[in-house]
Amino acid sequence: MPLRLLPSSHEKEDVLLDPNFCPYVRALLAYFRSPRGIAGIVLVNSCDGMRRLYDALRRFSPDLFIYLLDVPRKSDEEAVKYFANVLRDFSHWLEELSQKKVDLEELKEKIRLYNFRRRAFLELLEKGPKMGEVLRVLKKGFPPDEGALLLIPLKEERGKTKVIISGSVLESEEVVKMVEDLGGEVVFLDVCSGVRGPSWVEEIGDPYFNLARAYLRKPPCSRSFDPKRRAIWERTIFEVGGVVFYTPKFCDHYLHELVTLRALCQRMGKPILHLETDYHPNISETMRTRIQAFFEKWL
Amino acid sequence: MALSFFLKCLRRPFFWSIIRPLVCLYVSKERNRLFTLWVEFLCWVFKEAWKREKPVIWTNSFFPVEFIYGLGAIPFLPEIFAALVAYFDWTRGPISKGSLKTSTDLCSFYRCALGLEEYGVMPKPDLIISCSQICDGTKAFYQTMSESLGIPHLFVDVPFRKDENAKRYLKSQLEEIFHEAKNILGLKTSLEDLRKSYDMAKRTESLMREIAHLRKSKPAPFPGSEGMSYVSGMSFWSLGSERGLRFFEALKERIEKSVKERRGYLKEERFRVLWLHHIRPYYPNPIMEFLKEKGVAIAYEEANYPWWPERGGEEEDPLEDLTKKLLSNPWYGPIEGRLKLVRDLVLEYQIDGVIHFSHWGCRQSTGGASIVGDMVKSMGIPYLILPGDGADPDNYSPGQTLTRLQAFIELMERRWRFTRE
Repeated sequence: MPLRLLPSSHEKEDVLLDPNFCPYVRALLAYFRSPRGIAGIVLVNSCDGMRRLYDALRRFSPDLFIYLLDVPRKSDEEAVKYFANVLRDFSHWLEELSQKKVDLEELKEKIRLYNFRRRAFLELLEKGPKMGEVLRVLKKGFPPDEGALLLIPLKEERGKTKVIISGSVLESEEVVKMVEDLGGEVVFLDVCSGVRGPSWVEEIGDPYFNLARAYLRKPPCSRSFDPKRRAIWERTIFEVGGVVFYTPKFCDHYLHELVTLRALCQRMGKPILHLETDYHPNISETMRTRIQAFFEKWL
Repeated sequence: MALSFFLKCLRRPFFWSIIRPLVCLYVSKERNRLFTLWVEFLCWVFKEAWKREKPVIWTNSFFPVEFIYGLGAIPFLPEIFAALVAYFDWTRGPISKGSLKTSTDLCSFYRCALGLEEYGVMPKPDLIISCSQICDGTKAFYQTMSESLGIPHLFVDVPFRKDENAKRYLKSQLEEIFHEAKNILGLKTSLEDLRKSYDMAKRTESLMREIAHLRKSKPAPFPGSEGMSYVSGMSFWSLGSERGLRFFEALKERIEKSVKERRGYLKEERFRVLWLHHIRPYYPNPIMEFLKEKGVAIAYEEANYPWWPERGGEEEDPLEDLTKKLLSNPWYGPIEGRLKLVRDLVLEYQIDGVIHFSHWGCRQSTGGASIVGDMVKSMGIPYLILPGDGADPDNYSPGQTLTRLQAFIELMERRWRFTRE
């Protein structure tokens, strides 16, 4: 049973990792200080922080069963082939973990089921759900199951100003709720814990290859080496009134991307608000004030 | 006015032609032939890059620079240029310009390079090639530069894994960028041309290995502070060029002489220290002088270790070898690679203490500092994590740093007394 880990505690590890390290990574390390009844952990080779978390967890919690999924930064055919083989290797790790052989037919069946969920989720997005609620549901995993989708309310009325929320891990749906309460309409939740998943996975053929292709060709994040990202940016920024850019402190990928994003917003005459956080489950008063001021001044 | 005139001068190839003999003459007064060769190399790079007769390619430190010489282009390394600017204590302006565009949490070398680009003192590239080693900045910074300058960027995604699947993926990318770079730059380079710089790199690397071996001698024949400055600058920037070969021949000659004469670089060597991380603070600071006064020799530094396997024979495919080189990088991959390297260095260089310089904003290295420390301490060797900043003098606290160093030296002294008793 997969579980997305977004610890809701304030605790961070400050000894094993430097304090000038991603607070999300430090929160995860603190989370594993006590036993959690988790059979295995899958980390993704997404950034220096995650790579070092992989090292630290293996070193200081040697009884944990950990796998680092090496996701390529590119999405061409060679990258897809490489990733398909990585996924094959990952399936062996899962077999070892569950003491059960991975059944390809069952895997294909799961792909079909998840495609159904993806379709349902995309349909919901078109109807205009409350994005704060969407984020809350997505924190458990992507795509959400049908039952969870039914609980997401639709917006009673469209917001006055369209806003895009972009960035890295967004741990608190309060940020989105606050933007919506202030009259903003979040049109795209372009965050790591948001809606960047693939919209469809091919059902016929090698499931590993199909999964690899779908996941590498989904909307790219700032880690990807993909010109599509800039094109998506240009299109969406053109459509919105402003951009809220949310990053945990020390998130290198996104802090570098901020340079390009700021330049784009400036060129297109759109305001941008950069919120840097220390990975807190609750939104701080300072942040509330900054979001309010952003709306009052610019939107 | 004077600054803008100076900056204008820096952009003229003529300026570099004139300044080269003058600067070389000036630095040769210090009787440091190696430093003169480094300065001569830099003047040559700047002259060639501003002349624009050959294409200029920006690249990151860990991308195999011999590939760029092999293409027939001039490599330019903004990260090392930022370190050079720090050496002259000129980073405050560029760092503050760079920080305005992003956050002060980012690596100051990249922030400095962002600012330097605005000053227009870096020769504009015709192409950017970077690889994902060894940190996230290598993709992100160069992608940002590519977008802001409107210059194509070719990227090598080095896999984290080191198996056959990873090798195939990596090699296919090197083949692709070799052809794409030629197309973009309109070059007619063949694989044979690449082999020439590859052979030059091979000869240089065998010197680098000999140097690494010679530096195991006691007393330490060569200062690690210089190893982390122009020596690592040359190994990152000049490998695969004639000048690089000449530099390492001279370096080997100098170290060999000291070893033969049993002459250390310190008058009295009390302790031998291994410096971890690829950088040190480059702006004026008393760290190295302090260690020197206390008789602490930086016997070796992680930065100069030739980590990659020896290259194959005549028939070897250069791209195959570059693939092996990239995949064998101990700083990219599970921490066990770095742990093995540090353990070997501690034993082979008869190290009394290890200093891990934790540069602000460097996640890839500082993230492993505790784990490396536990391993070093389990060997009974004192270990110090020294937080600081390699490029930003305003992010450096002299009092705190020297206190920590003093305590570290006392620890080594206690260990020395204990082992004697």
